[in-house]
Amino acid sequence: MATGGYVGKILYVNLTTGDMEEIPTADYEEWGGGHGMGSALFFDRVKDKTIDGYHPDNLVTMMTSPLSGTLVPSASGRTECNFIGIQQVPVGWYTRSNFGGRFAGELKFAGWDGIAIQGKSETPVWLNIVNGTVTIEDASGLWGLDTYETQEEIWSIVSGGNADDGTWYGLSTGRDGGRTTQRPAVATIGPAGEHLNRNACVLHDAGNAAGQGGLGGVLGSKNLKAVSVIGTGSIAIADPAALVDARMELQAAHGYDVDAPALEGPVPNFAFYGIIEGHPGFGPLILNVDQPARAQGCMGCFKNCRRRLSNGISNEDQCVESLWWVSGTSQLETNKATDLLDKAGLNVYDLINGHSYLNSLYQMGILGPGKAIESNLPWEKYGTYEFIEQFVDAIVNQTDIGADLADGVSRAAIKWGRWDEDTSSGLLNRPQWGYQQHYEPRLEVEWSYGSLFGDRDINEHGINWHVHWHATVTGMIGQAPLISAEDMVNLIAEGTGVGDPMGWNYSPDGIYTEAKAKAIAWHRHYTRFWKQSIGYCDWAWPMFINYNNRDGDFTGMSPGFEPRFFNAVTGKNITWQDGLELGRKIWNLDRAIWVLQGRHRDLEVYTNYVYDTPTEAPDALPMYLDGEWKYDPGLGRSLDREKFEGFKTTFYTVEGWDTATGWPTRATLDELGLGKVADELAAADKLGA
Amino acid sequence: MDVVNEDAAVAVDMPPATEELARRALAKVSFEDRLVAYRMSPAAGNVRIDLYSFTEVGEYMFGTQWHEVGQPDARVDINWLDVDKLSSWLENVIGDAALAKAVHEVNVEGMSFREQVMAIGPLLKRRFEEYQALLTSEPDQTESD
Repeated sequence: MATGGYVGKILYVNLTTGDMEEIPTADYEEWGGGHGMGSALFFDRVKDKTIDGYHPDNLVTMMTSPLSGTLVPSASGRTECNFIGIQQVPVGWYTRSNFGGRFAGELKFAGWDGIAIQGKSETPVWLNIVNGTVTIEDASGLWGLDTYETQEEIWSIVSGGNADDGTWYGLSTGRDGGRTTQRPAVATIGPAGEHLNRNACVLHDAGNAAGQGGLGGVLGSKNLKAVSVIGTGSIAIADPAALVDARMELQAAHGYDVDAPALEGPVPNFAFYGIIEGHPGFGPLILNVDQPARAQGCMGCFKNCRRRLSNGISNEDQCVESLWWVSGTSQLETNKATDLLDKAGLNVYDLINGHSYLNSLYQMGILGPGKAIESNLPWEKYGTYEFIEQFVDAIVNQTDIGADLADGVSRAAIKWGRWDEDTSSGLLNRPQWGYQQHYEPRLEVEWSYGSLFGDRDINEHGINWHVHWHATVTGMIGQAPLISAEDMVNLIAEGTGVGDPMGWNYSPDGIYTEAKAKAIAWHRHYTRFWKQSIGYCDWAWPMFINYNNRDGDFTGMSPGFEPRFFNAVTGKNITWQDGLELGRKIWNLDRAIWVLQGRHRDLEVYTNYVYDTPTEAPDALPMYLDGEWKYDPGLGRSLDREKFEGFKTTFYTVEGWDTATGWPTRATLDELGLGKVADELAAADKLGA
Repeated sequence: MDVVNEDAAVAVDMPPATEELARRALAKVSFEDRLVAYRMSPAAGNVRIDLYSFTEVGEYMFGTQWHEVGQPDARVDINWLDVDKLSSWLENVIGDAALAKAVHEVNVEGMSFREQVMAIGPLLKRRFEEYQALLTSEPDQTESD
């Protein structure tokens, strides 16, 4: 039992009945937090796992971890959300998404380790959490507002108008109700979610969003506009001195010293180099700052990869949302386009190549006025802000082709009869489950295999920063790699505990080996626990390689520091390997839910372009070729169907799953303490042999 | 800090462009004749970009403003394209064999992409200015026609 970190209870709200319940966190503590707790709650409380994501019984969990709201660096600010998705094709898998910021910390300060929401309100509502008091409020006055307006309105309501300028205010009329200067942390949907858009997100503060899976549309279907939380409590830390010591040690070794950087990019202000040396504010990646700005981060972070600009446009945005409209003619237009999505509560990733795909159809004479796909949007102005403003408006309000695109580009392509042809040619490069290609599925297979064997584009950069971006960035600017391919894979193999560097061999043969299968399995288990259940952000963790070490030793802070921080906060004594084993348990629980939803080996195939068209752009990765390790661009590569089918068998074997179906076996589930899960699979006649 | 070598670009021997070439070069090409490039970004991976004109190609290549990072409106994503494909496209689609040859020749094996851009960008810029000069100096026939 933990002595720190957890605050004791999970809030359950049934929006159909208005009933609420306090679930003792201790009942689910074995799962760690975040995703693990969410999946366990989902399994217990959703009796029919085959329901559609819009069904009222779909359970949405918004969970913290024991590290949330503490000083643990790059692990304190994430809120993990689990739910049945509405974005994927052909099945809306049980899925996950998370967002950063300060929501998780505020939830803990209010005395809650998480929230579980089920049912559907008859009218629009929002959830108001003020310490231990929870009320379901009328949201009729908020319905129709954008995400920024909604948050401002709730801040004003909860603080009595005092939150605008940091004034102290009381949270109740009672003497001991608590006082604060903070705004409530609000997670809200925008108009896109209200309209049940399958790519709607949940947004918190200026730029934190839970995007993948369509969580905004799910909350919209429940008539839940927003969840607001403010708390004035604190979080017990089992060993505060150990926590502070570990943080200071990590900061000294891995932090970016703005006065005397250990490593600087050879091209000044080259934002990409932030991937390597981690300078503050590098998160928007492609955009240089053209105005006064400062770095900004999630609660407790030591990297602060985001930034706020003096003009206030696209503040706190980074990653994909900051570059979805680089077709625009200026940085200001790019930033304004980002704000369009934020305010509408629309996830960017379906559109980042989606708009260029649609422009291709326009250029081909298939889409446009009077064409097979009728659209009267100003496609001749594609590339301008004027176009993208109308394009987003059409999707949010479901006008013009927005009526089809509200279901996502993939479903629209299916409806238009283009899916097979365009995913075969790669014009629509969506390798699995209808998600836009992210990292090269024919090469960087820890990304693509993980996505296919899971539920979504994994979006886990922890390994990717090293194996892909280090060599790509240095190679593009003519700099010798800071670390050799051989040293890199050895550090990763040693750090993970997998041991065999061939697990990170991306050569034509290396991507089909048993070593690769073990590396993929490790990745699934690591992220399910340490990232998604405990909250270690993949923009910082795992830290297998530290380019900022001044003595030339690139050894990073993982695997030692993840359990060190966890144990300092909770008072437990778990090891790195214990965490991986819990990750395996959570991964298998999720797998069982997907099986109940219809997952089968036969479904785990990519769209045709992954097998039939070769790569055209360099994607430098470590490869073992002709007896030596090197970084190779992997040009001209495609996936071999037969070899990949063989790899699936190998991977299923490594995971202890039935190789004919891909279903977990009773032996595997029993070993993990998941006997009741095996029983439910058996009852559905879906237990692996 | 690198500086685009304008002098080297001027020194490359290319026959003058013709009006016909300029007109074709600055026109938009069809979907089938587009040049496919890949914008590289850490958040999104390699994103395919379709380029439909010589002007778009130039803007795209200069989109990575290696020599102007830190300046207002500078964008520093890696706007990558295959230089051999660019050379072929210039010859076969645009019809500028001289420029295609010049691009091919400055692309020395082992060059980083940044070095390729620094070498090729000024060539494209020089030729673009030639094209523009040819068309803007031409008397406007539209009304009399």
